[in-house]
Amino acid sequence: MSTESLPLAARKRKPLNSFILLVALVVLVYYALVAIWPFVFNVWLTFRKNDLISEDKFIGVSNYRFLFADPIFWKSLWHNIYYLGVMVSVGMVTSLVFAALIHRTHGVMRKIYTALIFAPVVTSVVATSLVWTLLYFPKIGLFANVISTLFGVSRDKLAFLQSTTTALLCIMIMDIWRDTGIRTVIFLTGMDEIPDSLFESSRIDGASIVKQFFRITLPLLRPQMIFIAAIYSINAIRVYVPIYMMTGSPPGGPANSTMVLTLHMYLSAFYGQRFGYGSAISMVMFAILFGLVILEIKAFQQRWEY
Amino acid sequence: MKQFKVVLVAVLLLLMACTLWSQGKAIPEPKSQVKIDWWFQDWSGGTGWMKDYIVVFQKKHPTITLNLIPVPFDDLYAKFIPSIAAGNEPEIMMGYDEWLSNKDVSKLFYPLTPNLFTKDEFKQFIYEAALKNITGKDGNYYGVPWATGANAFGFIYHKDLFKQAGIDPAKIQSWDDLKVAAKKLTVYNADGTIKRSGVLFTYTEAANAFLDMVQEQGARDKMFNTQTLTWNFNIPEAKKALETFKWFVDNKVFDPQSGDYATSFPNKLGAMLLIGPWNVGGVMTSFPELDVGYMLMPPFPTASTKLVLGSIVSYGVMAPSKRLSGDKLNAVMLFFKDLVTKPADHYDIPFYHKPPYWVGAICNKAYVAELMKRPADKMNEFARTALTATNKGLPAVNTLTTKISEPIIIRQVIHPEMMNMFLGKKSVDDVLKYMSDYLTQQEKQLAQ
Repeated sequence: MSTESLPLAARKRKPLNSFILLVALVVLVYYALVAIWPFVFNVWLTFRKNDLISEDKFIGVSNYRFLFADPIFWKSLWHNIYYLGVMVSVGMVTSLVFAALIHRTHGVMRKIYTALIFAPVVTSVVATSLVWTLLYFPKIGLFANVISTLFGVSRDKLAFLQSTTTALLCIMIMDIWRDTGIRTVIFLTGMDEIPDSLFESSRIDGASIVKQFFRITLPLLRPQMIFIAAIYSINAIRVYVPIYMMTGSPPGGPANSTMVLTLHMYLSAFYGQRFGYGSAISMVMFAILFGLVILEIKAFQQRWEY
Repeated sequence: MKQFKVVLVAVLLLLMACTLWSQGKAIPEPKSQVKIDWWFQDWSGGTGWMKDYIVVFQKKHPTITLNLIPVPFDDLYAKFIPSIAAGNEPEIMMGYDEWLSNKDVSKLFYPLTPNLFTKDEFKQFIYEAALKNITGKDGNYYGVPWATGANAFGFIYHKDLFKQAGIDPAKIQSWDDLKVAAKKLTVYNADGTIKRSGVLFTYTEAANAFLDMVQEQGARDKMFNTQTLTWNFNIPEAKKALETFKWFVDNKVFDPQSGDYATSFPNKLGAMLLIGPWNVGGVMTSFPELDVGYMLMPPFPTASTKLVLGSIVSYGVMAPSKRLSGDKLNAVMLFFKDLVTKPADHYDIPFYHKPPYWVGAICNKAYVAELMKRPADKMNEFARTALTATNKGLPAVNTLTTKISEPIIIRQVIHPEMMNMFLGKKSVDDVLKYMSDYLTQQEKQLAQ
């Protein structure tokens, strides 16, 4: 069939389809190379004993067997879950409080407050981690000095990053502080979108500011809350830099009390030269992250109406 | 007959001279200007030393430009093998031989024997103990070990604090002396808490020392059975070693929560610190205002064997890329030839620099022999410590033939467990049991 016998519209569409196919092919090849192939290679690696150079052999599910019997893996997983819980809950509450306070300001002051609270977000995580490590330093650090002077607490009890009980919490406090700005801005945007008429009518009905916040603002910020919860859950599972930077030598200390999955994966693969085992840890992380993404998609599929 | 004897002696002398003075094969200078990338661990003393050496080297070889690229320790370790696997490693790599343990180095680097030296020539210059991990499956040598910081070799100390407390470091000859000195050096707050520890066991060197102490009591084979691949710390020798460390916490001489040693020691939160002599160059050069000294590790109480050091030892190694050819290959071979055969050019720099960069055990026999000939008053204390570290330390090096890497044994298992014990989270017995079980499980998995 010659092209002349085709309807005019179809004849015009044909070169366009080829172009789309070509562009899609490029994207697909790129995607296959940078996403699919590394993933497949990673799965393949989990069944092997591999040090990249001199050893590569099939060992079945041995890496997974060792993984589930590895106490450091379970400890790391628990730390990630703890990190997730605190980051999402405390992070959300503090940002909501700041957003609600800034929302009540206007004009230049609002811009200044927003800029101030956003400043740590644009600062390098490595730099902030190093500064906070010094702030937390036992005996001679700023926090130890201030707290012991003001409250008379014995400096021995202010070990911060050197205590197995408080080390992870200290890192989380820094991480929550660092990202408060971005969460606050997201909540502020959500608050700006809530129609004023809702607040006006509730005011006429005699609702207090607190009641307005809990009955109007909070329910209508549900999409932002779900978004933040999803994103920060994923971030909590992938957390690496602040822990690596703030726990020094050996990373994940003291006594593995800040060991998390990414760090355990990195140490096993690159320090232990056990790339198969490191890959197995990454597959567990993938399964957790995949589950969180599914939850996020489901939550976003729900409709919200003002 | 007499004439024959004279000729024979002359021939023998000539042969001996040839052997003694053998300088490896002749390598032509590059025909055109070449730039050689050289990864080196980023520590101020070491990079300062190498930069000074580059000036000396480039003066002799004007067609070669050495481009020193400082890489932080952790990055260097993480990139070392993957960069070779990816084929983007530099022409010269610095690393630690322990990273090459259980690997066939013939697949990683360009061979120095027989291309540059015969094996006998090479062994004339380099201590044999240091050659284990850079020997390929074909028996050739693939790198040049040049120094080891000799982990857990002794204690770095603040001279002024010792002086104030009236302690002479030369008189600390046993662990009992060490305990008395540490107690005297500890300063307490009004509430009885430790303001300044008498001694610090931070970083991972206490874990290295623990392994050495078990071996000094003659329990090497009991601790790690190479046949059954079993680690066993549930033995009296290991318990005694661990309890030795615990004494310092129980007696409030060491605060295990003093923080990272690189900040706590220079800030005098501890009077002395268990560490290898590498620390003087690795960290203390960042604090030139501090007056520090180094004293050697006393023998372990009731030790039944001679001093054992470096259960897990790391020799600093320079190795050439296997992808080299042409002028670049010649340039790199000239670098290695000078490094091995002209040791004074390389090693003299750190000791006679102001402030001195580094002390540690030296892997080049020719330089050690030269150093030993120098009068004591012509050497500073860093050179003297290096000489002692070499003479006492290198023969004492007795590495364990484990398949588990140092960072896992020391940093992920032994050191964290020691911290658990220091912080009162686990008993000595629980720690010993955990370490035995974990390391055995991992050893067996790696042997699969």
